[in-house]
Amino acid sequence: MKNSLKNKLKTQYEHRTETPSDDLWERIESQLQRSTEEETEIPVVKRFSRLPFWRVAAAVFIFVSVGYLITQVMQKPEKNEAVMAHQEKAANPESNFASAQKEALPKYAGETPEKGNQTEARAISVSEKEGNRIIMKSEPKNIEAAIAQNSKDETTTEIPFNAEKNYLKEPVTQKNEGAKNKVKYVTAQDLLFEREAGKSLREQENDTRKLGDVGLKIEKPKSVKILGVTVYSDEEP
Amino acid sequence: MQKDFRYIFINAQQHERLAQKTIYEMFSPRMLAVAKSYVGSTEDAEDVLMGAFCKAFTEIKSCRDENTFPFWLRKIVVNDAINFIRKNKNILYADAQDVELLGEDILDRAETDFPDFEIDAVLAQMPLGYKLVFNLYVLEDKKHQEIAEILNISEGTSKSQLNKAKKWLLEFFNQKENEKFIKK
Repeated sequence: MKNSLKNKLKTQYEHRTETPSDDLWERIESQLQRSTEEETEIPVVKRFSRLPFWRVAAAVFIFVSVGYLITQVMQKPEKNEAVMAHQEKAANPESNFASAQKEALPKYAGETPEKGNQTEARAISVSEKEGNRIIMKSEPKNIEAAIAQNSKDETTTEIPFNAEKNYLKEPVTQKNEGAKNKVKYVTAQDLLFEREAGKSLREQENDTRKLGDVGLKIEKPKSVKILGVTVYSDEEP
Repeated sequence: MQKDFRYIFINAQQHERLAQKTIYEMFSPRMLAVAKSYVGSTEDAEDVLMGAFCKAFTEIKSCRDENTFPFWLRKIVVNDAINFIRKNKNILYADAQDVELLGEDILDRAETDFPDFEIDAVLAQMPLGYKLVFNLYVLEDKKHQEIAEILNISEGTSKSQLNKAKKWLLEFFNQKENEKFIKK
């Protein structure tokens, strides 16, 4: 209905006005000024708030990398020592063999050393293998006394070799009769080592050069793998 | 005039202070009356108006064009006034009670039946709870569903509050008539 109370209410409502106070615009203006200043400040704060994250990440990265480098440096001397020791062993097989000889040879019986042959040390070598018996030929220099002692006691030059069990059984001698229970065995690894050492000694014998002039040309390996770590030689190819 | 307001509106969108002041001077009297119809006092209405204008000038770019600006600004003022009432004045709406209207709806009666009707007096004296629903339904043309969402009440409560407002209005007019009759 056009002339209803409702329409009258709405018409009067739409035409109502109130006069604001004089300072209302100044209050609005100051409020607007404050809000614009706050808007300009916020981006600066945001920038700074981003920095600490990157700083922390950079610091963590530096610490981790420094710690890794320190551990690498600590491990290097140990590796170098291992490599050096191995290289020394490879360079001087005679001394290695001689030291091994001292430990192993007195256990074995063999032929008596040739008289007069006292200049060079000769390795024990497995020269023949007849069936299950291995004839040992040994003329070691440093253990002449031990061999002489053994040769007095031994009755045979042949040492029975038990192929199944892969060891040499020391012959029963008068001296050994009392110690039957003590059996000294030779392992395959020792035999192989002795064979290789014997080869190098034979080469020395054939060498006509003078004492001191070994003339050995041991080719150092270009790379050695120790405990999974490959170490390359420093020598130029 | 319209071209002038369009020019002012574009400048206000660029946050030009002079354009903002011009818009304030154009709309502040009308908007202050709207705010006062909700909150009651002039001081509270000015607080509401200050917040509403700051919000409007800050977010003026979200307003489509100069033609919709007056309605857009009024919407902000009404919302801020209702929020002000929620924060500062505790209104507890009782459960919806069926209030039967006796006879014809007062709003549908002819205006000639109420010759000395003044809306200022009605809005100044009507209880706040009734007034919110009455203003939103009668003056802002909102539906009961919208009113329920705005005031966070049920639709039934909105209807019952409107009926109570109409009943109050009828009693108010009857009282006015009696006072006039007594004076005579």
